[in-house]
Amino acid sequence: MSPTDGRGAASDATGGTSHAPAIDHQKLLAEIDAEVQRKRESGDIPADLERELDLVFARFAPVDALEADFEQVLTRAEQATFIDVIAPVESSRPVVPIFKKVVRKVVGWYLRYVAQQTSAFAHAITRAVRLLGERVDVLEQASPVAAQRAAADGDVQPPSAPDLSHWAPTLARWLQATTGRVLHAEAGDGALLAALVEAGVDAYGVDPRPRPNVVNEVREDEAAVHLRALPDGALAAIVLSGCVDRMALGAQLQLADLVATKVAPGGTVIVLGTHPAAWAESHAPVHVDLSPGRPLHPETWQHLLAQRGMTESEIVAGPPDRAALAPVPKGDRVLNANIERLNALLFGPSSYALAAHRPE
Amino acid sequence: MVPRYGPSVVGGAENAARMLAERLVSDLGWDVSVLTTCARDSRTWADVDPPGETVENGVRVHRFASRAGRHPDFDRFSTPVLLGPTPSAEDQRKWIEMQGPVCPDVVKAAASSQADMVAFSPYLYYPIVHGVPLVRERAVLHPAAHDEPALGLPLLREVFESAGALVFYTHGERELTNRRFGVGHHRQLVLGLGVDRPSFDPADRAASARAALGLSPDEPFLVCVGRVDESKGTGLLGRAFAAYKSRRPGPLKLVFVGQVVDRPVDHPDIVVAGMVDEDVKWGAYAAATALVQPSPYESFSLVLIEGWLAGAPALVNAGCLATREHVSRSGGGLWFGSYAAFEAAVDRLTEAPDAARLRAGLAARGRAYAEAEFAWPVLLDRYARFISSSAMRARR
Repeated sequence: MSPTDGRGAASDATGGTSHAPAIDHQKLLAEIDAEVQRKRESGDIPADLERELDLVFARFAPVDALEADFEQVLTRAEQATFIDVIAPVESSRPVVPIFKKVVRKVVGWYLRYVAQQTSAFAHAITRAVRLLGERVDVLEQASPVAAQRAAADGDVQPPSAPDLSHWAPTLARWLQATTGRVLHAEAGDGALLAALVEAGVDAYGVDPRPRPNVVNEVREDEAAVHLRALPDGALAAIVLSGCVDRMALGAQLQLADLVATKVAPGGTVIVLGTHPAAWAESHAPVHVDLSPGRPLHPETWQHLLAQRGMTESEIVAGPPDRAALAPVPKGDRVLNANIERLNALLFGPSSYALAAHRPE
Repeated sequence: MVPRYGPSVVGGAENAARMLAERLVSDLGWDVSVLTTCARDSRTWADVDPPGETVENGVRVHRFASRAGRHPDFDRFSTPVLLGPTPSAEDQRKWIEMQGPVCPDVVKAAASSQADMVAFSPYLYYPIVHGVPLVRERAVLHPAAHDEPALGLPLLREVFESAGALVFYTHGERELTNRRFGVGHHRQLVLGLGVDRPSFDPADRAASARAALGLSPDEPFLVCVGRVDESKGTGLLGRAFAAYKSRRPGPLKLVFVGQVVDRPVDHPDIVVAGMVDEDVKWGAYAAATALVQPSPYESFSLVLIEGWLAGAPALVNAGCLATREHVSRSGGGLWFGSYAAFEAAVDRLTEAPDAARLRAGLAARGRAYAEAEFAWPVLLDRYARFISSSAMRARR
């Protein structure tokens, strides 16, 4: 429930140009937030002044803009529980203020009676929401969301999205008969997407990392968030990559639900995953340990999609993880057979592609 | 297609459309025609310009007479439709017609247009509501949508769903539209608005701007550029600044530049300059300690981008999705959503020991963002690629 903004250049610690003083914008914003907190706690700003101005701010700073920040929205709701029955009486016409004052005085007792009850109700509701928020905090600490935060807090994210362009011919074959929009989530730098567009596929992508000026249509969005906002059956095909390597199991199951409903009848779902064994080998130990989830085997995705009505699935193995052990030239047959077995055990495919279809 | 067109039209979406049309002609050599009504004023939609064809800055403009403008009872009819329970389909259609301009001829012209693509903006007027569903795949809707009650009219779903492509000012507008209408799978582009650096260096005009605004050469000041209007947050800024000065007496001033609709609070350190010429405006950006954009309802804020190009760090209303998005993405400024935050931000920009370094760093980041995203060549290239690929898809 901590405030998150997570957008764009703001998280970058350097200045905009090489000659500009370096600024950590996120740190700066956090320092200002801390200063605001300190001012409030110390009573530095007179309460009357702050309340008067905050009422004006509430009018001109819509609560929708605070949507990502539970604490700020709740604070705004708590402030709004106070109902001011002293209506302003100013007017540009001379007699009207007197009339307004009389009306205010006459109906004041009635408004106070209603306002007290309304304020009490609103206060009880906001208190209940705050208690609920505290409970959610406790739940988050025990859930994969906390692990996601742990991974995000440190420098443990993979430095860049994996290069998927070698899958382009396979995907072009699977998608050649597709008519309609194809979503690639997460599209990374858009290389695979560009190859698909080049092959005539009407594809667009989403990726949670901001990627300005990408040539093709790659939007900044989380895969699940984007899919949730689409109507059912909106897409001709969905290609999943990246997120399927690191999402918590619960989130992957939700993703499976989403893709099975958002793809149109006759459409295709494709999963480009890192092989679980290769994933653990290819990442830094800190990343492996703190990642909220890990990739699933292709057979598991096949099973999950089949459970959701997807059929005719096909799995294609990617290239080997690393260079395998070379057999000994003219060597002992048993030795070379063992090397072959070791290769199969140690150097399996690094990735896989799986396609499944939603029946018409 | 826009409901009104021309240099005398005051309106963000309409001006943006005109600037884009003229640039597509002058910079890319595209053949651009505009379909519009004869109206200039969005409060009446009365026909003012003669119907027929003209060429304006290289753009062919076809104006059509309207059957009706704004209905005198529109405001009375509008409130229950927008703020009451879900209105009937008939009431929604009536709302669109009473709002005006009712111009079936411009809709027919759009439907029969042989253009590769037909761009529509903004989303909520009769010509657009009726035109987009007829053009469908070839329709590029630039909605200029805010989170306002009219956006909740169920009738608009068909308009957004039938558009072949959508172009937005900001990522926030795109998210709002996708959340409201479930059109995330449609072809989309976040374009923004194009902005030009002036032909002169704004810093060269700083001294003359100070003189024109009645400021001494070293006097620090915050500048707010745009209509001085309560609904634009200028009243809020005036009151916050007066409170700030009561707690931080000093030389800092606040200068309002722009048409005055509502005068801000009287204060010896608040200067209301009114309308000024371009030299003074750009000089004021360059000379200012910071540009303040207090408006909560901007759909883009060209002023903010201009300020960054002239070297001013920004201070924006945290409640405005568009300006907060610009600041968040660029790192070119700060935001405030309460008086305490306003005070803390102004302190950092003016009184902190590292204030000058901070201002320079923020301004540089803002400028880099403005040039990378909204310089006309960059923006036109982005738009041209998008329109070309959308047209190619529409032809299939």
